[in-house]
Amino acid sequence: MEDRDGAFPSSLEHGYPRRLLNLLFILNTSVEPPTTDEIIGDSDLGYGSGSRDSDLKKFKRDRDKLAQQGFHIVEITGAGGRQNEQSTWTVDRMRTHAELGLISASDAEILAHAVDAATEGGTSPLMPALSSIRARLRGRMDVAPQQDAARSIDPRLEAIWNAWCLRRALPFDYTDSKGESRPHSVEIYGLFSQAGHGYFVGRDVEDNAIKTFRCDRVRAARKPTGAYDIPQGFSIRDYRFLPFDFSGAGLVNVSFSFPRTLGAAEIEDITHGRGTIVDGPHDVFTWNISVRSIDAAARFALAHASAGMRPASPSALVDAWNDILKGVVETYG
Amino acid sequence: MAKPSDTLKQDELLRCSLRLLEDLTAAPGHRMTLDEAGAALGINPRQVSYVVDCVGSLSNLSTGTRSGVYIEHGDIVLVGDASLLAPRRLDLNESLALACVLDSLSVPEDVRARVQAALGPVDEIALDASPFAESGEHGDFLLPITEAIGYGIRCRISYRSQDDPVAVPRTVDPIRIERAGQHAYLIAWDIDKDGVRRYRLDRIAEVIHTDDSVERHAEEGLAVAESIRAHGSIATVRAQSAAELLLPGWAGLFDLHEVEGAVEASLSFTSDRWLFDQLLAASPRIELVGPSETKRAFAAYARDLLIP
Repeated sequence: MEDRDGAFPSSLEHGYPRRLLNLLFILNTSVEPPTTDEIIGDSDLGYGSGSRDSDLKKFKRDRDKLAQQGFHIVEITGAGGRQNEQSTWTVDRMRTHAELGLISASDAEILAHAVDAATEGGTSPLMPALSSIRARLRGRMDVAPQQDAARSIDPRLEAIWNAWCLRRALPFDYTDSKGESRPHSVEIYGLFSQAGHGYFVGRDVEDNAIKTFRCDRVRAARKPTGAYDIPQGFSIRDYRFLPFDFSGAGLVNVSFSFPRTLGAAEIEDITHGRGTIVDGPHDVFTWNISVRSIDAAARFALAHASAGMRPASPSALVDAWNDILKGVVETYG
Repeated sequence: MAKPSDTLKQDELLRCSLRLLEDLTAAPGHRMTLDEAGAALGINPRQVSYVVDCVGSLSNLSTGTRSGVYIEHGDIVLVGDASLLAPRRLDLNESLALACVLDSLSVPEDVRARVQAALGPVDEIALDASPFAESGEHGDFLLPITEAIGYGIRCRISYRSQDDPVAVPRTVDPIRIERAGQHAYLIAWDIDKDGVRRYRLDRIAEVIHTDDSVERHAEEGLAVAESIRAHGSIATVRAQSAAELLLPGWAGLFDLHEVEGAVEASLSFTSDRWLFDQLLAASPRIELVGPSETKRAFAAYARDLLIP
């Protein structure tokens, strides 16, 4: 059978991607699932080297490569388990394909709105994943295309996301808040958004210290290298910083109170989910957290004074609160 | 055949090929323009042609089936069933990202369960803690608010303003969501106050859709800063540098200028208590210059906050 140009398409064109795509094509279009020998004996498909072992290994690598892309190819052993019966192969459709019938039109709309809200502004470090998810909804389930159809992803976010997915350290140049630039190589442990910016947290390989970096301050990300594991017990929530985190001083345990009438969403926005919140006395919640600067902690509470936030302990925190207030009374009173 | 300079690395070619087949399967009439495909894949039109070249060459000798993907008059077309590709499930990383977002927006549990069953990996590994965190500025009611904006639904909301100790009910016509500084706001027409107001999303305690539709008003186009200026008061503030004044990210700050070696600016505000809280946190780096009655009120506010 000839193609439009009169020449049969060669599997050598486009390299191994065409071989994998054609393997998938064959599995999707065959009347009967092909056997192992049919697959590895097919030179047009890209196997058939003459060495069965070599072709079997290539077939295994190709299945693994397709699995990385979400296509799971499984072996069907001989019906009835007859001896010497060749295995056949098929796409595991349940593991591979989404079951869109489980989602109602209303669910799809909620999902689309959620993804659109999270990607508004284009700064979330989850953009690459969320854009891919949104694209899968496009044109399906009557979900309208994303409003900004050409919402391009910052290549730095792509680089950070890919490095995290691969669990490979990301080398990059970085300009800090003071304007100083230097190279880093970071094993990324987690990602978060805060106040309209994206951040990643990980081990700086050279300094062997856990650090937080702002995504838009990354310059010139390079190819990730060096595999790593994320330490057990790592919690990204602990790195959603607050103004009292920036000091070289040691940690001090402090407590604040919030009135019980304050909404949970507002408390979450203030506390960033850090520390612990427990029932306190006299119709308040008590927020326990460790801080590096008592003065910054007092100022943080003052910034939320009209919401009812108050310093509770230790006395140094209450004193810092009062000192600032006395200064204002003295200046403006 | 595409020129070598417009080809793709092999991993990218595989990714783009699979994604193109999924997108063509979902597209109306299984047809897309080269530009649409390029935008979706993040590649240029010549690279799109290279991808079409690849997927268009797929075939199954045993059945005589050919891929029906080709370019026609600037469109990419998929004919027949052979190349149709249903959407894939999310991988683990994508699933974690989506779970983080759905959790941060308080999407109902039943919806999350259906989405996970439909899209999530079948053999997902439960993690002790998510490696992601989203900010909480969207509050718990972004989705019903977004729906109200999309469909033009008048809403009753329960909202705690800066000056209210508890949330109070209001009837509003939602207009849009806007971000300013560290927070996200609903810009809406307040029916009782008969004017545009902004509501911080994390302070909205309830949203109920009414049976009424919104009405359009002239002021709807005002940005947050313009809205504050239109409805608020103005104070003069001073610091040693512009950087100090800009650090808090106040949406109502304007007219920065040098005065006797320092920098002064005007600051619009709609709540005295908001202004005083901000100045307390920044004191003494940022000073309140005037008006005089505001300074006196500031001192009284600070005095009332002292803890014996």
